[in-house]
Amino acid sequence: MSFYLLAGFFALFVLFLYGPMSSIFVLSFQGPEGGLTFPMRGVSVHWFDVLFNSQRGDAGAAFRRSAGLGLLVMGITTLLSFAAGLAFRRKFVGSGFIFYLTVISLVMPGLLISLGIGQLFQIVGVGTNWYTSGLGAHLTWTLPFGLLIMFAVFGRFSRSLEEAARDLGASRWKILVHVTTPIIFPGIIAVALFGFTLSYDEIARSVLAIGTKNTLPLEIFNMTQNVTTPDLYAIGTFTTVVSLLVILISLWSIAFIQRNRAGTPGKQ
Amino acid sequence: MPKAKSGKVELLNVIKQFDGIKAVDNLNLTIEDGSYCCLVGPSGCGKTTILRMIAGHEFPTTGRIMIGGEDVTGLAPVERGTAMMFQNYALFPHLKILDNVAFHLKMRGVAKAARQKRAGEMLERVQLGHLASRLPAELSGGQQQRVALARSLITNPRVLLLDEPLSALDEFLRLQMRGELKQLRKSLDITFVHVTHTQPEALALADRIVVMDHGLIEQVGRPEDIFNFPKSPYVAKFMGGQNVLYGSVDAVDPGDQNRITVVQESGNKLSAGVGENRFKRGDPIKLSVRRDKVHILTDGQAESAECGFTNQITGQVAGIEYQGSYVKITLDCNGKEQFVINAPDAVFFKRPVDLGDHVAAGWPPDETIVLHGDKDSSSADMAAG
Repeated sequence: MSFYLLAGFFALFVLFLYGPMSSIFVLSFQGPEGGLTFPMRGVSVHWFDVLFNSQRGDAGAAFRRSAGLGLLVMGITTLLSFAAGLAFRRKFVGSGFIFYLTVISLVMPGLLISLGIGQLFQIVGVGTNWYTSGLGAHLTWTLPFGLLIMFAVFGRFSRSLEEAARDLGASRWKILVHVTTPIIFPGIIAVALFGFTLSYDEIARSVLAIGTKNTLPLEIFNMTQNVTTPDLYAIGTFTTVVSLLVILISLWSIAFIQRNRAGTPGKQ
Repeated sequence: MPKAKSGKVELLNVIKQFDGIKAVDNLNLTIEDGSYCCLVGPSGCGKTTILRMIAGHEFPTTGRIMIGGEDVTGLAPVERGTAMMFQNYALFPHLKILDNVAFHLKMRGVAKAARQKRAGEMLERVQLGHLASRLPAELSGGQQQRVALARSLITNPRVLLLDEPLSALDEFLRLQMRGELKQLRKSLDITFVHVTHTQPEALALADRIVVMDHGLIEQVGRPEDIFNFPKSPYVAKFMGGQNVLYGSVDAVDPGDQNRITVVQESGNKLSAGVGENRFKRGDPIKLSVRRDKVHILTDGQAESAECGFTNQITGQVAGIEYQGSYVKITLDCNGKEQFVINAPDAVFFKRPVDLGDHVAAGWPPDETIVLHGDKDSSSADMAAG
């Protein structure tokens, strides 16, 4: 009895999780005559063509901006989180304060952060742009995440590995290069993945800090307001595929590293 | 292999504090070159801290550490000529076995072909040559331990530091590795410092045992001396195999100042030789007697002095455990302390006792040891078994 109850619950869960996504995916291949709802009138890639080649809207450029910003955020987040993770392994003066200061930006409403950063840039007179104020706003979101992931990663990292390396004559730098970094590398990839995806689909922190040129999520949001054709769905399908690719590349690189460990270093 | 440098280890007035708590308290210890020294004690007694200070992974708050007569107090591990084997082996999970063993040579800039050749030879020495291209996770616990050993030995240390090296292994492997450590010790002319909380391990391996408690050395000596002549109730209980008896001096033999009579709280009287020390009537005193020196007495034996078992104690049998070559019989004597007799199996089965029986147990007064130290830590009770 309880099995069927739980199975039914699970089925509902899956339906809610993947139902909307699946219908958007299917509807994005709507025929040229079709509309925003079922039934399908033929199958085509017409709406993808409309998406990238129409005069109205700026989806292609928005995607390039989002991807660029995502990569930038990813790079900075990975580097800083790794460095901060190393630093926070030891207690230093003000470590607690700095940690809470970092985590506060997770708790603050994103829209307020966006507003604040936008205002600040206007007042200082630099003007808002996706690669200045927008980048900063996104980092307030990804850095605390990255740091928390590094905490988890280092929490499972045994310090005796570094001591063993030191015992065997490795300098601090060599320990970092030959022992610490390679061992926690899958964790670093996880930080990078989070950095990119969190930035790639961020709306709240973008909206008031991004300047005049939209990122992809904002572009989609605009489209939902005034577009009444299935190219809206096409963009949904397209972004989902991009996200999936990013995840697949990450998983693949982790698997590649693991396999490499068994293979290359010091071939006989 | 000619030895370059002496592996004599000296700790001089070493104090180590962690957040104001003394983990090691004004310790002086000399470990002779080429000896096998075991540091034993319950967890938290400071033995691992001492090992880590010798290794250079921890620095003393005050005091000095000398190796081979040189002051190494502030030096990095690699400058000391020590090698440490970690409790969980700390093998690098991302490196193949061969590269784990070759790590030290790589850090020293030895060319790849040369370092792999030497690492390969070292692996052959611990009979793991065939696993050179595996990852640590693919090896059994015993194999991992040998890799850790090979990785330490390739540094050519003058002092090998072992932190609970056998604790992660099952009983069978533990005994096997114990034998291998002993053999290694024979083939290498270096100093071994081995930290353990397992008394049989220390007795089996060491030629010098340091019993510790709460950052202090309680007793240092050869294994047989530590086992037969514990200094304090703490050492007697921790090393095991002993019964500790409490009482006060009832009388000193007027003809022989060495002989005293001790009265227990129960009124039971025991005779003991005190050696150099002098006691007077009323002094509190602690005695011990080895479990295997005590015999269960027949009524006839208990009443006659002829058999020589004139030190006697009576109690109710509270436990009987068959151990193979002997039987462990636990007596309840007025509640407080339990009294244990290890009777040879043949003797026990000739005249067995049963749970609940009231029996008399006796031993020759000469087997009674007077404990001089006061330390009677309860932390050892659990470990005494």
